[in-house]
Amino acid sequence: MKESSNITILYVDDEEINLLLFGRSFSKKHNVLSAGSGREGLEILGRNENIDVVISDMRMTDMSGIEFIKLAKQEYPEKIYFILTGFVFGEEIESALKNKLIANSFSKPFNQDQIEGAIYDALH
Amino acid sequence: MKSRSVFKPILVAILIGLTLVTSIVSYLVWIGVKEKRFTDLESTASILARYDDLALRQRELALVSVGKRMLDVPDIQAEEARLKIAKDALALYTEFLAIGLTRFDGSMITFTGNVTAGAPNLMKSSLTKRSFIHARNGTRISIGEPYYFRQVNDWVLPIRAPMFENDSLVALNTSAIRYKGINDNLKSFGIDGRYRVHTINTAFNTTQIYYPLETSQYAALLRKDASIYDDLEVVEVKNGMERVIGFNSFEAYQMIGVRIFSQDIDKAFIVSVNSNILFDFFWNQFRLILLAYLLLVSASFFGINYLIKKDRKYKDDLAEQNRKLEQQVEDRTRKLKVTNEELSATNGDLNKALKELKDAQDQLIKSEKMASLGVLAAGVGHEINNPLNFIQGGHTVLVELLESNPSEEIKTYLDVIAEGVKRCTAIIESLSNYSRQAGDMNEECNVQTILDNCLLILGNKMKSKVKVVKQYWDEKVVVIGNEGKLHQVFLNVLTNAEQSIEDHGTIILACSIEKGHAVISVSDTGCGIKKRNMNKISDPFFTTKAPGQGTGLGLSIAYSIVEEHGGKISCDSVFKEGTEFVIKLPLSRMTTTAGERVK
Repeated sequence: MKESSNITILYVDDEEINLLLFGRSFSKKHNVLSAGSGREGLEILGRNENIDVVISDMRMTDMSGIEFIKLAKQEYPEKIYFILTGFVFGEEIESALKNKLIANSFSKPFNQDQIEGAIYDALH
Repeated sequence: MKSRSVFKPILVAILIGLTLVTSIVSYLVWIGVKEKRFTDLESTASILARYDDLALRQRELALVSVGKRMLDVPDIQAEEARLKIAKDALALYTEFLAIGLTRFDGSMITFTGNVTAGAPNLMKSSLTKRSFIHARNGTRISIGEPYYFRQVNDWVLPIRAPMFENDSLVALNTSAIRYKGINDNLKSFGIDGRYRVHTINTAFNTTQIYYPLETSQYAALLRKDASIYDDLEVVEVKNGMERVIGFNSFEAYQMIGVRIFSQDIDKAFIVSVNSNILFDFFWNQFRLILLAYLLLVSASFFGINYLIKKDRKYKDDLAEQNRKLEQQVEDRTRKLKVTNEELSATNGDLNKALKELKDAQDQLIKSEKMASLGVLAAGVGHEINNPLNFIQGGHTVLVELLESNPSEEIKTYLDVIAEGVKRCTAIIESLSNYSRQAGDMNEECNVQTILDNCLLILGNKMKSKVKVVKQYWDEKVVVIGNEGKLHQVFLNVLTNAEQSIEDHGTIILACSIEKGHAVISVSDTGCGIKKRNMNKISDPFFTTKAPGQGTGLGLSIAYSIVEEHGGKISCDSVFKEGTEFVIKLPLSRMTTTAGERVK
């Protein structure tokens, strides 16, 4: 059980504005790390053992959010993964939910309270 | 039948052919027989002739020369000339005539030149005027004037000789010599006494009866009735009995006549017709004709028999064909009747199917629209949501930053931005419902529970103005599908019902089972739908609500979801009175087996 301020979130998105806004919104309560691609995300994960939650965009240039999470979860199965995407419906996301690859998925424009709630639920 | 009509002429042709062949064969055979007969007669003649062949030949030549002279001078006027011809002939035939009148028993008949009463007039005149009487051995012979006999197309010389027995006249022998040939010179002999009584006629060409000459082995009689050139009876006389053995033609008569020319007196009287030969001839002819006739008859018999058989077979076949045909007609009629009934039934089914097809087509067009809308929505949603995220995120940060500066104006415009983002987000979210990939379709959905949930969600809005009447089926009504989506359907319909009621009203929410379907009816006492809008209510983005109050996607999505579940939505509405939506969804097997009950 962690305090909110102790939770470290890795947010992966290839749009810089999204990274900026996400960081601005969540960094007040949490420790937020940002990655501009799946590969970068994996690097950051390798460097930071204390990351609790990984939230990834779906459509990215080098690899999709699901692909990234699959790779990440192989290395770090104890972490909690979410998808935050422009369009939540799709087979990939549905099967990811079914297979418990991700804990949940959120739609953009994100609702901070919804995401906070989900993180809280997942960690407690 | 066709083959029959072809066959008949063939048969007739065969019959005609047979007849022809038979005729030809019989003719040929007849010719052969005739030749044979002639040959036989010739051989007989040659036997006879061998007594004095040379003398016979000389006489023939002489006779021919007489004939020629006569022909050279057809109109003989001069008595002398005629007399000379007659004299020549007489001189030539003196011996011959004497021979001709030899008695049957072998003794000679003596001739005198006396013509007594009873002799024909013609004879008389001949004797007095134109006849020559030749006497030899005391017998006189009269030779008439030569005349042209048209029937034989020749000149003839009449010769007559009275016949005496014991100095009384018993017969007048009449004969004629044809100049052209020697065949028919002596026609007949008349004789009286112990042989036969005879009549001597007055006219040369009228009926005369001549009596037979008899020899040892053969006997023949030339009996002349009517003209001498008419047909003759051939009579056999033996031991005083006379028997007709056949009829001879003039030709045969000639042949008979020829045998008289023999110098052998004793044998010259044989009119050497072998009755057997004649008989064979007739028998052959008769046999031949009989054979031909039998052939013809049998051929005809077989032909006719064949025809009859053929006809019977044909009739039998026809009857059989008829029977089959009738049977077929009966069968066909029966089948046709059945088919007709089936067709009538099928017609009804077809009409029904056509209607269903039309409905399905409408539905298909609609679903096509929906499907393309789904693809579009997914794309647009994703692309719009990112910029929306920017705006919203930016807005949030700005609100934070400006918290210290509570300017009312700034606040207002920040709210405007927030409202814009909110609406856009709502639209994109709604559009996402068109995506068919979302959601499982195999959940067991309890209809009553879903309806109650929906009422619960809408609770606050309802409470104040709407009275909800629930008419639920006693037992659980379960359909298979996506629970979330079904919630969406009923929420939508219920929301519409609620929104259609301005002040106060009633919503009747009913749920029942009918023909394997769950039937959910939502009827309200709201404003109703204008008739012209009825067919647009399921179109995406069609709305009568104020801007911002509704996207116009709700009912369209509800239709699409129900369809996805294999169900149907129908709507009945009267403007300003109310609307009823009926949703039919196929029951799960569980509910269906529980049995249907009338509520």
